[in-house]
Amino acid sequence: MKELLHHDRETIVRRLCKRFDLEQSAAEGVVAKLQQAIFEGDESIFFDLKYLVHFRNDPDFSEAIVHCATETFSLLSAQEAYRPYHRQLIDFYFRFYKTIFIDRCRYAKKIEKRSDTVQRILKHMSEEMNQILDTQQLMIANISHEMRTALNAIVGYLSMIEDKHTLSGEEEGFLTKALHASSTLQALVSDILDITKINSDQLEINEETFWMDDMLAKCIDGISLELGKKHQIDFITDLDLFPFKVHGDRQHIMEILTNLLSNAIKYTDKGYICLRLTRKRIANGKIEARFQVEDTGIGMTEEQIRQIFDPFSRFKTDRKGIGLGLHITSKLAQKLGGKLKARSTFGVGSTFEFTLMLGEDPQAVDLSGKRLCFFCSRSDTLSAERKKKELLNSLGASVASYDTEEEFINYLLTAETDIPDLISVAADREGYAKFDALINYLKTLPRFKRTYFIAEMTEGVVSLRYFDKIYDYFVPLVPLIQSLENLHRDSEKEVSEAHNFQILVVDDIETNLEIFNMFVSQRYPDATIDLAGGGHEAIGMYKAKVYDIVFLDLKMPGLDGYEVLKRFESIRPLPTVYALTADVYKSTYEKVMEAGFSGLLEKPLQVDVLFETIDKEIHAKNY
Amino acid sequence: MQYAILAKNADIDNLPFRPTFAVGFYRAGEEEPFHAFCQALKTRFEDLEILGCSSESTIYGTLSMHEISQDRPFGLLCLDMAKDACSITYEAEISAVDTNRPSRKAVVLFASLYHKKLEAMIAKLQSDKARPVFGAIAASAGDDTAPSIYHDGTFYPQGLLAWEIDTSSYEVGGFSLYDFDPVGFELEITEAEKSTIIEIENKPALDMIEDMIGPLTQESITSYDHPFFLRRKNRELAAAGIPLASIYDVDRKRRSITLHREVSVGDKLRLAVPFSREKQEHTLNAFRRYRDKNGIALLFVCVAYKGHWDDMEPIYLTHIARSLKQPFLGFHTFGEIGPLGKNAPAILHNQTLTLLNITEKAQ
Repeated sequence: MKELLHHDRETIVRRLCKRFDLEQSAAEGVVAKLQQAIFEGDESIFFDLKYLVHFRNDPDFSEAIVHCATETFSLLSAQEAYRPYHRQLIDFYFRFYKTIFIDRCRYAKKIEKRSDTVQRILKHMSEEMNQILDTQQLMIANISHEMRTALNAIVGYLSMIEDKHTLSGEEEGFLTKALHASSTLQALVSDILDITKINSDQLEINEETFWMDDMLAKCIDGISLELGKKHQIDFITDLDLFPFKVHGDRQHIMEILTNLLSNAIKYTDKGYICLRLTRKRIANGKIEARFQVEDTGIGMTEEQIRQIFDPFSRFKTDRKGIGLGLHITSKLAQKLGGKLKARSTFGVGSTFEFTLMLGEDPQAVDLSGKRLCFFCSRSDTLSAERKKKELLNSLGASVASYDTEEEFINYLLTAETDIPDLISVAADREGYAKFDALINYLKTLPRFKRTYFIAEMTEGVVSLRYFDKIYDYFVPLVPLIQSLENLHRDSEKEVSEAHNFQILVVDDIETNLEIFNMFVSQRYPDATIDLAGGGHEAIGMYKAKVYDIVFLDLKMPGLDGYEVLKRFESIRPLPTVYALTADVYKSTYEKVMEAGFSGLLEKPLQVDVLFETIDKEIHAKNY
Repeated sequence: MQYAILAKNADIDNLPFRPTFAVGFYRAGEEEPFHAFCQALKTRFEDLEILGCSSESTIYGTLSMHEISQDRPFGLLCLDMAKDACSITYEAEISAVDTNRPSRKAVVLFASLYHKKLEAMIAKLQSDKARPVFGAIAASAGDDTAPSIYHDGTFYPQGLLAWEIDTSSYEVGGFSLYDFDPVGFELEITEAEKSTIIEIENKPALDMIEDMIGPLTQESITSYDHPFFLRRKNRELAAAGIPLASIYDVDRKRRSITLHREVSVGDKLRLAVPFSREKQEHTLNAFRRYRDKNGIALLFVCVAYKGHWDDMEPIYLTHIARSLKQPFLGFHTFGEIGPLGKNAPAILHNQTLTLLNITEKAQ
């Protein structure tokens, strides 16, 4: 026998056609190969099976083949006619299972082994890659710091030249351009440094308790210059006016808001920009603060919104910046536990918002006994003014208000008793100028000696000399209240009270010392600033004189900052000593505090932070 | 162009045309039957020019699908090419080719042995960018046999032959494919001797590689599991793509690795990881691009490709045969010459499948 019995062939062909949806001729071809395999030991059917099973890669298909082969084997082995070929049938069945099962297992095992090796290689590569990325980040952070220090010096010296007004004409133009370019570069380096810090998880979250409206006012102050240049934009605030104190990372919240506002200004040429804050009380002394910046700018397409928080996704190339801003802002919001979201309609405008959970400080504001007087001749702010007055009343203040110039001037000139602690003016351009002159006169009268004069909503369009405080866009209540309580203790007073205030600065880089001296001596002309170019020199000066505050560079040749501090401590108890460092890492903060420093200021110094530090010390000394 | 693939004497009698040129592959050790077969052919067709090259093992011919799984000692592709459109030249003539003059000739190189100067020659031939260059290195089958090339009755154990084809009459194209991806950074060879890498990045080569991929077992070497992407010193990255170089052996005492290619200090290596199954299948499907029913093809299959896939190799080649839908004659090589992309220049590789397609141009 060299072939299957006719009726068996037919049965197998029928089954093949049914199970695999084969045409008659194809099924007959398979049966022919089956016969060759059984009776002649031909391999081609196994080769075909192997091919099909591999490329189909479908367990159901493989199962169907096994079913079919088993049925065929049963069919043939059960018949007496095939008894002499029993061995061939078993051999066929074995080869079939070897092909469909054992060979597949061998293949799978080989692939599994190779896959393990691939995993190992990829793991090794990933570790190596991460290591390199970490090193690169550290390198970028260090380089950026060094660049920022150098740039700070460049900007400082250029500002000094500008302040001296010695250049004119074309040269003055060059100077302005050099200053502008340096500032752009400074911002860029600062962005790179920020993103490197965030990505390398070196961003310090510094939580503190602060008044929300004070923080918002500072943000608005920060962008008022840019805003002033866009005359066709209205800046609107829709803020929770009730003064409340929260616990959170003030500095970084300010960075986020300033960036969002700055972006809104950048991409809006007309219409409005609105800063909105709403809060919701949550249990356990927490509040949910939702910040929102809405604009009527160029807007974004859906595609642009999808990419808006990616690094370098600046789609409007004629605007300033390299596009890291929103990426950093989004990362910052994330670090603070929030999520920055954007929605926008192309050509209509955009809204960015983020929500943070902040701790609430229950400190109450009490304005009992305080007399406040408001003049507002502007119809656009009337409703906001009304709300504010209601709020002040609810806090215990006695509030008077005027909306005509005549009545208000008459009141100011004739009032003899119950003189207000605060007089606020919101007028038009001419009105401000008029009242500025009047205030100059009023301040000469004894009865107005303890009155604080503020100009509101000036939008930065007028130059006023005699108002005590000018608010371009938003009046924060808390600073106002604090002004009422410490009428003669504002920061300007701190400056004049810096008389006999002794400052020692230690840094081995002469440029740093010069820049420090330039800024600090300008703001605190009465303070004494001693400069030491190294550790030994500083120790000598420290021995000879008692300082109120010392700024000490950590990285100096010879004696480093830590060593100098130890020597200071052995001479006499330490005054307030701040470490100066370009090292941005968390561990440095910890090390500095452990060593006994009062705090750490990052180099290059941010002037406002430096002044805040000195003000605090002067205040502590005097009160 | 008429063609036929012959594998036994009986095929000669059935040849329906008069061949002018034949290119054939013989299993190393089967030189005599191949020669006898060629002689028989020559007796019948006196002016037939025959070029041959030894193979490490199986000769693949696809006149019918099942032949992939069948083993044969040799295979000969007979063609009725125009006599003046193709010629055979020897090493000295190839070296003397004036590469500054534009040429209308494609070159298919057959080398009996690997030599570094072969790489230089491939590059030189392509100073004329229009010249297609393909080829293969003959293979032996174990230590008992030696690789060789064959021309007009003579076997050359050390030699180089070029089959030149007039591109104004014939379209000559094709490509090389591998199934590995480069991974990780480039590593510089800092000490080397011929094909042996002694140090990589100033560390013992074997330590450096095993640190990344784990032990290089004998099994992984014979399975060609860990080829390297080898970039020659000072060679541009993108122009030709980076060829694969297979590991030949390791010396545990010396902590060195020997490749199937010569290396120099300054050459750079990258580790290679095998394609995923999907990507591998996708790559095999690339042969569909060459469904040229009027053309014939040669397939140079690296012994390392066979070693890597073992008994799955004929399955993959069957898939190629089904994709191509045109006859081809294939054999196992010790190196392949072909381009990695459509407009890329040809380079010498290991561990690839290299297809050379020849089609007669319409008159």
